[in-house]
Amino acid sequence: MAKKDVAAKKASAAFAARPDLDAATARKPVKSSSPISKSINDVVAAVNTTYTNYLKALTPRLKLIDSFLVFLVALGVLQFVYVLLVGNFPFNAFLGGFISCVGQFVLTVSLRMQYALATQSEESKGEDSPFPTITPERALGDFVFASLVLHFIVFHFIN
Amino acid sequence: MLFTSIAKLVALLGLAAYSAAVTDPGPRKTSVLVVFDPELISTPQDLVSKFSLDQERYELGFLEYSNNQILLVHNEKPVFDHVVYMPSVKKSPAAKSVTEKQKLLEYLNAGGNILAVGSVENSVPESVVKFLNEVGIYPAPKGHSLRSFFDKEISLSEENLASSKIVSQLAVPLYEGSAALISNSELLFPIVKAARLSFSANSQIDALTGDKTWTNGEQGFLAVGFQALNNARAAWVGSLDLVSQELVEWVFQEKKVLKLQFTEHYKRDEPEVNDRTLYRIKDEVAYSVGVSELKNDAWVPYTPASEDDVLQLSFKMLDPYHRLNLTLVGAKASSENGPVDTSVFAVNFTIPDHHGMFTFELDYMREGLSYLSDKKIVAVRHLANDEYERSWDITNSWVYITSAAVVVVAWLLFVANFLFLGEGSVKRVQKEKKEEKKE
Repeated sequence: MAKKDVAAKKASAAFAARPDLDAATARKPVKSSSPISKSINDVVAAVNTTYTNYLKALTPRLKLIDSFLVFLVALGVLQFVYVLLVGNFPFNAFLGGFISCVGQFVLTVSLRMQYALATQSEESKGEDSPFPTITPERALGDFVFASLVLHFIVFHFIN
Repeated sequence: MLFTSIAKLVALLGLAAYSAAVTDPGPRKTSVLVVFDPELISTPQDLVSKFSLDQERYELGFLEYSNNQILLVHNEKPVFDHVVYMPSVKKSPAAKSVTEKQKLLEYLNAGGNILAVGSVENSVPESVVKFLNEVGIYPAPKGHSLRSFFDKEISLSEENLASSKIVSQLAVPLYEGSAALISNSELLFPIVKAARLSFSANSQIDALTGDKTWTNGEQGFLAVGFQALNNARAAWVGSLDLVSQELVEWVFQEKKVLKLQFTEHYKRDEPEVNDRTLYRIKDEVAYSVGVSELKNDAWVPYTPASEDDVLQLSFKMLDPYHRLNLTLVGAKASSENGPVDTSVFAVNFTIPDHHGMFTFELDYMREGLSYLSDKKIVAVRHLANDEYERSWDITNSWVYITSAAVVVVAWLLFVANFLFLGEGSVKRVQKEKKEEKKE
């Protein structure tokens, strides 16, 4: 019974798949004639692959870094929209607020690169790493120091 | 012999006029030299009533064109306050010292006033005409008279007044005289213009062609005033009939004479500090001037006759950043315990948002009136380091300040979380990965 059922299911599945096949064969000449849709499919596939790879490589710390980056971008965009709507009168204040977002973003991206590579190179014993001598602790220390300098300058610039 | 005696008399009169000015503080007698041709004017004393020259007000001197012994300027000062040139039969008479163009220019530059009178048949000597050409008046040559094919005799009415600023009415029913062309100099004030259908040409020529006429229609002027930049005045009239009391008073600096009593500027917060040399951008500034007008030998407060005569202030650095009308605010005395003789004009304004060397410039050049000009240079500085508004005083910047603060807070939270998450979690993930690989 079970085998029969399985076989019946397979058959019905094959039957059910046929119109799909037909549809696929029917579409084939169309596909070859439009390379744009093909390349779009490629791009979608590449994005999917990248995304799954990204999810695989994601550690909680990297996830934290990324959410911080997204937050900084959102805040920067918000200020830019505000300056477009209201005008750039206290221009130094706008520059200060905007640059604090951009600068913090750049510093955090550096931290992410160094940190990700440093942890990877722990696995791969420093092969192919552009920062072979930088340990994760050093990367974090640099990040904290640079950020303090940045915020110091920003608050003085805002006056 | 007669000429030399007249010359001596004139020189004496000149001296007397000066000594009178020194000793008598009352209305000063001014000296007038009338240069004439005895062939045309046999009794020069008749001119006195014609010019309405009151003997009590003027020291009069008469000089014939044949006399060359009088100087117009001595030690760079005019010997006579005013000189009147009557027509001459000779084109270049002997009296070179009073008729040469260079001498006349020197005299005008020294502050003397000149009145030249033309006529139908004769003009002032050629060298005086050259002087008139220099200031932009081109009288018709000898023998050219103003004529018209439509009227036997040319009558002048109020329509012929080019401007009523200097002479307000015309009392000349019939005009016999010459006309002049004038340049477009801003220092010239046309007084009487020729009729629309008139022309000036040699009266002996009947067949009229284009190059035989000197002026056509309203192109010609019968009386023209001129005021040099040093406020010395000159006038040319085409006929003795046009010489009126008003015109003589204008030429002899008895009316329409202005005096700048003072100019001052100050910051409105600190009115006690006058004429400071340093201002700051966007300072509130007050500027005022005092102007007197001469009326009946006395200084009285000046009131502009019309809207066009308003005083203006330019606040300029190469270009005027402000050009403002001054308003009459009142009258006051120019000296302590003196009579009220000065009109005060003032304006308040805000210094532009631009630092540099600025000039308070009063440049008053109106038709018929003495020119007034005054320049005061001040420095305008920008805001000092501690004079700017702080960011938190500006509501707009609160958004940016908040944003920068949020970034700092978020960063602190981020670092804390980053440390809190710790290595363990990373190792756990790596272990999971290794397990996946093993599988």
